[in-house]
Amino acid sequence: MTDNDQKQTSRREMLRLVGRVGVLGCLASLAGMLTGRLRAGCIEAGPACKGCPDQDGCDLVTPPTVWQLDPAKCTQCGQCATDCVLAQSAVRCFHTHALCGHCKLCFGYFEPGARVLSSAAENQLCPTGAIQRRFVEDPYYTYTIEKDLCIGCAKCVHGCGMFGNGSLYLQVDHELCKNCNECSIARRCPANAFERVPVSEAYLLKGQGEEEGH
Amino acid sequence: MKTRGIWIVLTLVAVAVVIFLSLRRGGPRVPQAYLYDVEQYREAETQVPLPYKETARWPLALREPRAVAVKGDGPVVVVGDRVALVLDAAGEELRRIELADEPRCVAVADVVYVGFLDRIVAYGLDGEKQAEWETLGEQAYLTGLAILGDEVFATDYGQRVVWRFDAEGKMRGRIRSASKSDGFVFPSPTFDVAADGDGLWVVNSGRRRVEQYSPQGKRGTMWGRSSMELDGFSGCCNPTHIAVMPDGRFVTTEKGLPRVKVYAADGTFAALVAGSVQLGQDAGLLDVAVDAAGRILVLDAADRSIRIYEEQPDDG
Ligand code: SF4
Ligand code: SF4
Ligand code: SF4
Repeated sequence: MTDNDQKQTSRREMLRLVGRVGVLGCLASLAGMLTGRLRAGCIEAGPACKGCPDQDGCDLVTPPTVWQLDPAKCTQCGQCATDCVLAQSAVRCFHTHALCGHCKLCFGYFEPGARVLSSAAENQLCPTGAIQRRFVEDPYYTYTIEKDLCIGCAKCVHGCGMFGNGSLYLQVDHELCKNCNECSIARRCPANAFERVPVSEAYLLKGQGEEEGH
Repeated sequence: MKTRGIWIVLTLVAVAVVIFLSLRRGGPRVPQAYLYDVEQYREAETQVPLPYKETARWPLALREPRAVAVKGDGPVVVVGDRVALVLDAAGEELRRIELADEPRCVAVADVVYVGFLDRIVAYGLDGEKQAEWETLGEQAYLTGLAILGDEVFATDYGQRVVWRFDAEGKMRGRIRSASKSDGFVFPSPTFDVAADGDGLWVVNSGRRRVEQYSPQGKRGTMWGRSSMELDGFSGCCNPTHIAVMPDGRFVTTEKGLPRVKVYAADGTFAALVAGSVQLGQDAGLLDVAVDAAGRILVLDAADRSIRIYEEQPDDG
C-alpha cells in the first residue's frame, strides 16, 4: 500500500464518519421532535405516577403553571381552532358581558354585510352556530357562547374587536386543556400570544374580573 | 455496499421529514370559513376617486391625543395626556396649557373649552384658566363639545344627554333621547356633536345616523343609513365624530373600517376623503375638525398626528 493509497483510505473513512455523524444528528433531532409531539398528548397524571419518588416536585402531576393566551396579543388568525392536540380545541370564546354593547347589529354575530338581522343560519358568522342571541329590550340583545359548540376559531372575536367593543375574546379553557408541556398552538401562534401563567391566575380576562364565562 | 445504501436512504428520509415538519410550522392551514373577511369592503374604497389629498401631517408630542378643534381661521387646539396644545394654522406650537386631569373633548372660539369626564373648564387663548364649571355627576362621561352662538353643548355618553350651557357655564337645559323606541343608542362612547346655522348635529352612532336638534332639544331632520357600503355607516357605532364644513357639508369619521367621508348638506354621500388604505387598519378613533378654508383636520391617535386634507381642483 502506497502512501497515496493510505491517504485515500483515511480520507474515505473520515468522510464516512462525518456522514454517519450527520445522519445520527438528523435522526436524533427527528426523534426529539416526535417525542415532543407524543409527550404533548400524554402528560396527565396516571397510574404510572404511583410510587414515583419525584411525584411531589413533578410539574406534570401538579403543574405550577398552565398555558393561557393573552387576548391583547391575539390577532385572530384562526389557528387556535386547528392546532390544538385535542380534536375540538381547548381554546374557546369567552364573553365579558359588562363590556358588551348588546348591539342589535352585532359584528361578532352577523356576517359582515348581512342584510337581515335575523338569527337565520346564513346571517350568522359563527361556523358552528355557537353564539346564542336573545332579545332584551329594543334595541338591545344579549349574546352567550355555547361552550360545547365553540371551536375557538376567533371569527366572532375578530368582528367584535374590529367593529364593536371587543367583549368577545379567546381563552384556553382549563376544564379541557391537557396542559401539554409544549402547547401545540403556542408553537405556531403567529402573535406569540401564548404564555405560562400561574395556576392561581389561569385566565387573562378582559374587564375587571367581571367575565361571566360563556 | 448494502450498508451504505441503507445509510443513504435513512439520511434522505430523515432530512425530508425534518424539512417537512419545519415547513409545517405556521403554515396557512386555516379553513376560509374560520376567517373574518371584509376584503371586499376595503376593495370598494380603492374603486372610488379621492378628491381630497393629504397635504400635510403634523406630528404630536402626545402619548394619547384625544380631540381636536379649530377656531375658524385661527388656532387649532389639540388635547391629550394632561395638556392642551394651541397650534397655529401651520401646526407650530404657540402655547401649551397644563391640565389637571385627562381631557376628553375640546371646542374653541375666543375661549378654549376643555371637557373632562364630568365637567368643563374654560381657558383663555393665552392659557389662563377662566372658570371651572360644576360637575355633572358621577355618571357623567363627556365625549363631545360644540359652540353655537354664545352657548356650549356637551354630549354625555354616561347619561345619554346633550347638556346646554351659557358661556359662563350656567346650565340651560338638556337634550334627551327623542323617544325610547327611536332614541339615542350608544354601545360604546361614540357620541359627538357639531353645530352650524341650522342648529346641532348629534351623532346617534348606535343607530348609525346623524340627527338635527334645535338648541331647545326639538329633533329635526336625520340622515345616515346602516350599511357596509361606502355611502353608509357600519359597525356597532358609527360615525364616531362629525364636523360641519363652511359650506354646510359634513365630515364624518368611522372606526372598524377607518374612514373619513364627506356628506352633502342633505346627508347624501359626497366623497371618501381617506379610507383604511390611507389611514391603516389600526387607526382607532379619529376626531375631526374643519377650518374656515375647508381644510379637514383629522386627529389620528394611533399615528399621534394631525392629518390635513384639502380638496383638489377638479381637472375634468
Ligand atoms: S394562534 Fe395566536 S393569534 Fe391565532 S387565534 Fe390563537 S392566540 Fe390568536
Ligand atoms: S370562536 Fe366565536 S365564531 Fe368561532 S366557534 Fe367560537 S363562538 Fe363561533
Ligand atoms: S396545551 Fe392545551 S391548548 Fe395547547 S395544545 Fe395542549 S390541550 Fe391544546
